[in-house]
Amino acid sequence: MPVKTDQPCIELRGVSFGYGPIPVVENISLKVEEGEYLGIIGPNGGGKTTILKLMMGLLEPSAGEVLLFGEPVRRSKRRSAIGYVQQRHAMDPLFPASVEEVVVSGRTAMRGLFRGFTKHDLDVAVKALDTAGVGHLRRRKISSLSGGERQRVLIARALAGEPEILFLDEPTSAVDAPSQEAFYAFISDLHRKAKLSIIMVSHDIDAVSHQVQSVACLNRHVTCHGPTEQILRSGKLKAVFQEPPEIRHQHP
Amino acid sequence: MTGIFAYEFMQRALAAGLIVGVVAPTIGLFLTVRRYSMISDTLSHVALAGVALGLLVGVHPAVGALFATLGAALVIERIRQSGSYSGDSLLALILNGSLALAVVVMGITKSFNAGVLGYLFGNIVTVSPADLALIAISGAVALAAVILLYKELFYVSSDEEVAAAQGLNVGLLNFVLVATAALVISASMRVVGVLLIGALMVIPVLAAMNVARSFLGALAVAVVFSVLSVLIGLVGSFELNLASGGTIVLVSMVFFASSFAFKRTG
Repeated sequence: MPVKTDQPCIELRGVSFGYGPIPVVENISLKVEEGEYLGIIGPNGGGKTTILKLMMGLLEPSAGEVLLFGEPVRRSKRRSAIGYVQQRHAMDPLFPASVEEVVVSGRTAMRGLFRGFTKHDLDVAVKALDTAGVGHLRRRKISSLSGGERQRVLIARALAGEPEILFLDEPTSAVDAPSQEAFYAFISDLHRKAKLSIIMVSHDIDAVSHQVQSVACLNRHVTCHGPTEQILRSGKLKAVFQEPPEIRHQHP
Repeated sequence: MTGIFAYEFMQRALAAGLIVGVVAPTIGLFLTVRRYSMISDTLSHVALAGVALGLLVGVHPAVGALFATLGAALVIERIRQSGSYSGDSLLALILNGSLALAVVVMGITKSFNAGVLGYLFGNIVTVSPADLALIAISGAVALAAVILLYKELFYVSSDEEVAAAQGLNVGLLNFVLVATAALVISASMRVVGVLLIGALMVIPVLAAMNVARSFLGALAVAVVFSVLSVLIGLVGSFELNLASGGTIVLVSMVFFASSFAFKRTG
């Protein structure tokens, strides 16, 4: 269960980042409180995935700082509390492992060096699979699953690590439309029951705006940020998507 | 058939072969799933340059190979992390550069026909007690590294970015993996030859991936295929007077073909 602290889960203070001389995000300041379900939306090339990677310490900002529970994220001892589910192409679909092996590996960081998994770890992994609705797949090879099944297994892997904060990067890009609805419902349910902090990046404005508590619109800068209903009423979302990103870039 | 193991040199050959047969695919599985299969070939060529340099400066060839491969492992991981070059072009660069260096140094030392051919193609039946001790120590270190870091190596191999997000030192783990491969290659080149080590690290692994249903299962099956390849290849090469290294790898190819057929029919 998440440990309550007075600090925000994530805080960005004046964060900028660029690939070489090209700025991708500039002067971003943002707080994500514990238990918050935040959607980050914006046009392609607007810096959504980059900001997510900055939040997790995968990228180092060229200016500003990123804090995880009040500590600089790259030096934080609480990074094992991060759960991360990437876009569909992130994990090699031919990786020769069983579903159970993949899911229990989500407990690697919390278990620590030189300590093997215990029966408790396996029990938590099985429970995570059941929570994600794919308990029946535990003996299957990961390579034999459909895109939607694999995505749920990767959610289960993230849950197996008993995260306090869950990052989702375009989590429905591998699944068909009906499965997308079920997926969003599952994540909302998870947020309610587990009191997880969730940060989801998506280009799907409709889906996100109907699920999340708060929205941050990103197009190199944060163009709007606040409770979802308030942002929706303001009409700022449409403006974000009508404007092309200020500078196009490619991720490395 | 067991009569051949009454000879002392064949007992050493068997012991060396079994150690390499266990260790090579164990490391090879982690490299192969990371699409790093070519790194064993690259490090094999670096090892050859190390052997040549060792002969040039009067250091034991295996020690020269070990230092050369560990240095190359460090350089490869540093450049890979910088993202300046794609993995395959980086490996090709180092492979070709080290091969050129090996040929030039061999020319200087006039050693091409002396000991170097043994390292190129391997001759398991010439394994000395000192070679066996080196193989045993290196193999034990490599196996210990994999056993102690198994879950971390699995996690980084399956999803490097998620592992990094949770604070694992991905760069260090990658270096440990490549350095372990360097250690295995340096120690085992007398057994199967530098040109064939890459094959023994990859072929039994690919064969195992055709039939196994889990990562641990693939590891176990790869080791079984590899050890059987060494045993059958060793006996076969002795009985038929064939090159030992090549015979071992050809037997592993038979395992791969069989497992591929099994996968197609299964």
